Amino acid sequence: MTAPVLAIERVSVSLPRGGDRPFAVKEVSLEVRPGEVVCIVGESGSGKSVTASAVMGLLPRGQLRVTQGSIRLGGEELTKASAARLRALRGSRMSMIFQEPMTALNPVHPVGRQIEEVLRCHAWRGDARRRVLALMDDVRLPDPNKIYHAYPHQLSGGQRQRVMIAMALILEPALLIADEPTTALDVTTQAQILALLKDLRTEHGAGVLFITHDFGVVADIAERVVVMKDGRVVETGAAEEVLRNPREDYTKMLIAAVPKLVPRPARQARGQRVLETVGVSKLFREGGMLQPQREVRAVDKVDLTLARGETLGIVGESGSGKSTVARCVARLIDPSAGAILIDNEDVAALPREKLRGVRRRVQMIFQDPYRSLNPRRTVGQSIVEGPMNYGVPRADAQKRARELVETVGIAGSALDRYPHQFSGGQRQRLCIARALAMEPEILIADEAVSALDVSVQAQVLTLLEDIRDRFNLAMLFITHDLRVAARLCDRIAVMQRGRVVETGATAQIFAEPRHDYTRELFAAIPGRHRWGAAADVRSIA
Amino acid sequence: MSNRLSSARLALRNPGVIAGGGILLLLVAMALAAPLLTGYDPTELTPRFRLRAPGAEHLLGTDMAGRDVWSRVAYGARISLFIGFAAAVLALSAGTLVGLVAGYVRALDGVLMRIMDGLMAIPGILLAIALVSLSGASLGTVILAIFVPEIPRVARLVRSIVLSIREEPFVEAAIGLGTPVRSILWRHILPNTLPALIVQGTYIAASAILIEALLSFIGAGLSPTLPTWGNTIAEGRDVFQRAPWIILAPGAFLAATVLAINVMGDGLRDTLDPRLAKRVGGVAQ
Repeated sequence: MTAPVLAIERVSVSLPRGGDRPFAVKEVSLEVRPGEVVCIVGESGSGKSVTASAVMGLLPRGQLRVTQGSIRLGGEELTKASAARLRALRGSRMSMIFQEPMTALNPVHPVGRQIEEVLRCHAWRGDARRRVLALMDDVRLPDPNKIYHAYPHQLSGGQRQRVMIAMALILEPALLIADEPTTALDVTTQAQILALLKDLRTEHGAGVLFITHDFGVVADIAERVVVMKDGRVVETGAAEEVLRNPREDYTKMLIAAVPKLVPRPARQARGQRVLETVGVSKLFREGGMLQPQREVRAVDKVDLTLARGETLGIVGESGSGKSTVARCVARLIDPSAGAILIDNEDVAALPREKLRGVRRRVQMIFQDPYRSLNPRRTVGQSIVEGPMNYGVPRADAQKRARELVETVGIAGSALDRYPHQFSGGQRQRLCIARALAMEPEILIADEAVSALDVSVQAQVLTLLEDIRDRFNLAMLFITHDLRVAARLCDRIAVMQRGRVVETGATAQIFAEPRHDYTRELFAAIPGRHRWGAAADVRSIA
Repeated sequence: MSNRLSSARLALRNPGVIAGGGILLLLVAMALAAPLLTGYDPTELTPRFRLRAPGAEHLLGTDMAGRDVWSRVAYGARISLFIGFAAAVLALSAGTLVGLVAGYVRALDGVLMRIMDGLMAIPGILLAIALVSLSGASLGTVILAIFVPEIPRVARLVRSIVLSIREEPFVEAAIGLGTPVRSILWRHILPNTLPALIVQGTYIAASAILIEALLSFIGAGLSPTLPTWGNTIAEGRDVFQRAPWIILAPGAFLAATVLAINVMGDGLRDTLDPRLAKRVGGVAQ
């Protein structure tokens, strides 16, 4: 057995006083061997990123520090290393890639120069330009000579992450730390980056410490897994073993909470149609007086139908126009063309003043639970606001709010509290209660579970399903995640570049995706080999 | 930490807020209790006692006309503090109104902000002198002259906050709930501009007090008979070498007031307005 490149032994990092717990991480031990991918999996607050920062010596100074244990990089103790020594090690012996490649790159320098800077900082001797171009080729960037001179905003998200990886690997570090490197990327791009990391690990022989919240990603890339919860290691072992026979309840729960790629059985008895869009389009115009005008067709002639008690999933990657469709239906933006029929009344062209009646019938839940509630108003004030706009007396609205809050699984006493006193999942429940208070016919959920931890996500999905059936709602469910769509939706519309490329019953789309793009999406789902690919579903059906 | 209770509590623990606020409270108390703290009428001319040095009789001495300097300083605090407070409140109100409308009503944005740009292009002090000399100096016109040039800055600040907050999902949710525009502005957007406004208000108050003193000093301000700090300093100018206390006493109070307000403003900014606050702790280099 080769010596580990990274050995973390019983490391604790203390939190400043007044935190919700005394330690950010407590007695964490793990090892990474050369050429091995070790995944740290955990939900938010599990301490997985703090562990990575502790290794890199990047803990926020004065707030967090390693209080015990040892971190050794190739035998060298890091917890006692000087700032200068750590600086020398970073980039050369260990390097890191981050979640958001746009903010991790400097927007005012060409990316090639930024990669070269790593060489310059470490006084690398040799033909720097050639080395950079070779690395860009290694990370499969097309046309390195051209991309060398490109600025970050001119590249796609996937290309930016490849630049970051090139920058991280250019000095052949022994250890690469990847902190949720694919979370901000589209699913097809994510699959490519994961494949790239796997290849590079063999080519460059670096040990990879990969931080993720997604067990699908773990199944795809990890050789060994470390499951963390509340700053402690819950379970560690070979990935195969942990995924197949998780020992700890927490691991079992996490794995069980990953939506399986098995479409829900088709339900019959479609109710009355409440929503139909006919050729809805949305154009955005850019430029103006001094620049030539440019038109972006965000949504292009979209036809959808939705009935009571039914969930229609709109699935697509970023820029596909799925959210724009939702916002047109909710009339938060005005569609450029086409008709939106709600109960056979065209609302697409209604002027804003006449929308009051429509607003009540269409309610929306947003992605970011931290920004969907006004931080300066109590939860109760937020929930009664809608009904009171429509003339419901305050006392009645409050009574109803209490019932609804309890319906979504939160104590009625929550009404007097402010949003910051709730967790992300609880806030999303409160947003659902706020939407329900309007007694809508159509509920639009725009990536409503995307920002949530997987266990919370499962609970909110169950809640959405439950209220849809209880209130006989028509639900428009916007998501980038086919696994989530499979779990909840009766029918799915797949969008790409503003167009609906395929629509059909969920089971049918999963069994026989007709459009190439749909197939591509399926192929890119992390963990598909483990939790059912389209082919497996077909064999079951 | 976005809740108003917790941020208020945080603010009250900030050393800048405690120190600045404490000094300011003392000054306000001094201004209010001026008749009790001084034995002399600040406007009473007693040439017999002119240019007396500070001592037991006259705590801070007397000026050229024999008026008690301590008494003029204490009564002058009333005018200075009132002008600072009034100018801040008026500039904030007017600027907030303009900023809210410009930020939320797209049709009016261009027009309103160009007017603000125009106002900003004129140096504030010149505009103030012009306004005062046009209408004659009274408390009202001096305040007007001080707060009008401050409006564009407040309007721009509020507009920029409105532009970012109007895109927040909770505002979209409110639109979806059928909330009328004026309630969206009042309930959802205005409260979220408050921290920045409070901070901006302290800076306006400090600069208003300075500008008032400056206007008095150059003779464009309130009537020289009124006991303001600026007037007192202006009158002491000719005899500074013989009787420096006439300038030093009101000057020290002026400096202390402005410093206290600014220190408090910095403390409030750090606790109430995280957008402007310095980061706590360092980032590894």
